[in-house]
Amino acid sequence: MKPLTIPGNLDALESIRAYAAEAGTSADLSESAVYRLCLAVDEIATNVVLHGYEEAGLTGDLTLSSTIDCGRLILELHDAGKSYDPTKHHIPTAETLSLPLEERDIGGLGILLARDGVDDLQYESTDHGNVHRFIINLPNYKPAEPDAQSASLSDERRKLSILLSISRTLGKEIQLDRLLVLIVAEVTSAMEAERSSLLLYDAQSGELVSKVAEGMSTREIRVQLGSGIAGATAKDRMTINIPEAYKDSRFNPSYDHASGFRTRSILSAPILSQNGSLLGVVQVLNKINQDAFTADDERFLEAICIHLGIALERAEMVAAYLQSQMFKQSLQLAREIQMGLIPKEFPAFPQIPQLDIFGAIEPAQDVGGDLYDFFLLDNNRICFIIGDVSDKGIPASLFMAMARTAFRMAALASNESIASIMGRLNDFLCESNHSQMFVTVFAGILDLRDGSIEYADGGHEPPYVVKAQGGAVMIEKVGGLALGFIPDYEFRAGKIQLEPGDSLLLYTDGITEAMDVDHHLFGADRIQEILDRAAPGVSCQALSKVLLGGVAAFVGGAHQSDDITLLVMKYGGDAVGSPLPV
Amino acid sequence: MPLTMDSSSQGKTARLKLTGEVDGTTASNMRAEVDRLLTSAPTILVLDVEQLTFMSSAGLRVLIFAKQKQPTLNIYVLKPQPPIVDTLRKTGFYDGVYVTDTEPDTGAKA
Repeated sequence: MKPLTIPGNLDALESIRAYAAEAGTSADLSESAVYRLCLAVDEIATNVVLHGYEEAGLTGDLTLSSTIDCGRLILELHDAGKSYDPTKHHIPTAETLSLPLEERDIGGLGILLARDGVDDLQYESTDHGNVHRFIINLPNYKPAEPDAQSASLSDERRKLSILLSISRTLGKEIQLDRLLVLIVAEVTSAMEAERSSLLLYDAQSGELVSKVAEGMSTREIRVQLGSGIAGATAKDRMTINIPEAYKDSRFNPSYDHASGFRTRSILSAPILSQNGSLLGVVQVLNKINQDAFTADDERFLEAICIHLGIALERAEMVAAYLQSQMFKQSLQLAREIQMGLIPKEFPAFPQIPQLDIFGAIEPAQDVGGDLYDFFLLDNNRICFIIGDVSDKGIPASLFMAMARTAFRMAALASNESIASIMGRLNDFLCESNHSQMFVTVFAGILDLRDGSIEYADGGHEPPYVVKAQGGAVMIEKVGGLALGFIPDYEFRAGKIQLEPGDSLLLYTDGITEAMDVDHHLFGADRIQEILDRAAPGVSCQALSKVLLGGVAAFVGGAHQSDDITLLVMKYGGDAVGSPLPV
Repeated sequence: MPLTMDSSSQGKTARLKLTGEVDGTTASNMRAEVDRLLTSAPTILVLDVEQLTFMSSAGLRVLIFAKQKQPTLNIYVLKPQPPIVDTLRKTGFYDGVYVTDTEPDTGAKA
């Protein structure tokens, strides 16, 4: 019946009764039952109008609808007035009902008649107002006999509802480990099986992997493709239904022996991704109350596997994305630490015309642990360092930051020789080096009065002196150990004499070990060639540009796996008044 | 169906014939008519309800008001249809009024 909506005042009562009468009559209720239903609806509607609307100073409609469901006639009366719950209202007791009329309370009679008129009177307060539900159990209702067709229809309906529920449950979980636990639980219950297991395909090893909970720990089971029932399922990408596990030669009873479980029947199905690649295999064991899984079960498990595939693929994508995001963030942090510590403003000492100095780090995508630094010890001497930490990533960046700070402190705190500053730095790094990293270092002090450099070497690449008149010479270092290994190591001091216009060029192995696409190394010879060809008297920045340009041209499109670092300083002597033009 | 009423008084007996339906809307008319009949202080009120097809609790309340106004009043309910008898029974009114299918004598019950 079409619902009736009518303004909520007492004039509505007649139409409401007519509606209820029609609903009752079409549901084949007896005449007296129809009357009682009309009376019940009338009484409640009267209360709604008088108490819900008029007394509360409200206006609104009344809507009456009627349905028949599972042998019940249900009339619903909706209103938007003040809440009025007749089911909570007291009704007159047998005692008060037997009082003389003049002593009777006038309240409660309507509710009594309303409750009496139906099998169930329900009340519900909703966002939109109130709903009164008048329910009458239909006496002639006979549920249809479940014939074969409707039984199968109801089974299909059950499966569809399970699929929806699985899809909903799995859709909420993006964390892979938790998802796997959920999948096993959902599949076991949906398939009405005693147990389930899930094996994920490891594309790298070409094996199926299952993590089996054993008390507090987990044991990993690996299965070759093609081996056993799971392996065969994965290899052929076909569902396998085994009614009697112990009669199948592929069945491996060792898990039963280990767990005490007795496998009877197995249904094993592949889980495939959207594009058909193998994600895993799901196995359900022992159909409850039945000897074996049916062909219907096969189809149902395959349908479930479609949802598992989507959920697994999604969780894997999320995991990969999160990992890459975390990795990117940590690299970015490492890079910021590294770059935040090195002097990057040039000219660095505009007040000292006889000194031109330039440094650069081209950080690798993987972030190495290169460093350079320079600072004045006094008006005439500049201290410098270049280094390369053995490792990469955040630990290397932190180690580099520590080395750089310790070096500055050691150099500025005393007027010691560069060899003993290196010794102190080495001791400090040995002490604080829990991660077994080391750093190669070349450090020195340039005296701007005469161009002399006192240096100490900690296993670093040999520097070049680029001559004022052109050409470059690789310095034969005094030699020394990388820092962070052996405490109390005594570094030897070496000397380099720069003539006015000469430059000292320091670099890290990011240059010599830069690789082209064919994995050829850049090597020291190419440095020599480029420096030899460089224009005489060129500025430190220009010289750096030429060398870095040479490296970039050599590398081409190949991946830069290490930091590339350069530090160049030119001794101007008294003759040079300002840094040479670029 | 609206309520139509036909009333008369004869001696100590007042008569009210109700035709149609007594509900939250029409009960006030019924009450006004009963109140009017009670002004002549009858001892018997005969409600002829043979043509009354519906009566909700609003109609019952009119009877309570009448008895409260005049506790000695005897109310006869003449020829009620089965559903209305049912209502009177369920609410205890059946014992408080005289339900009858024949015209009452002038003599009143105790």
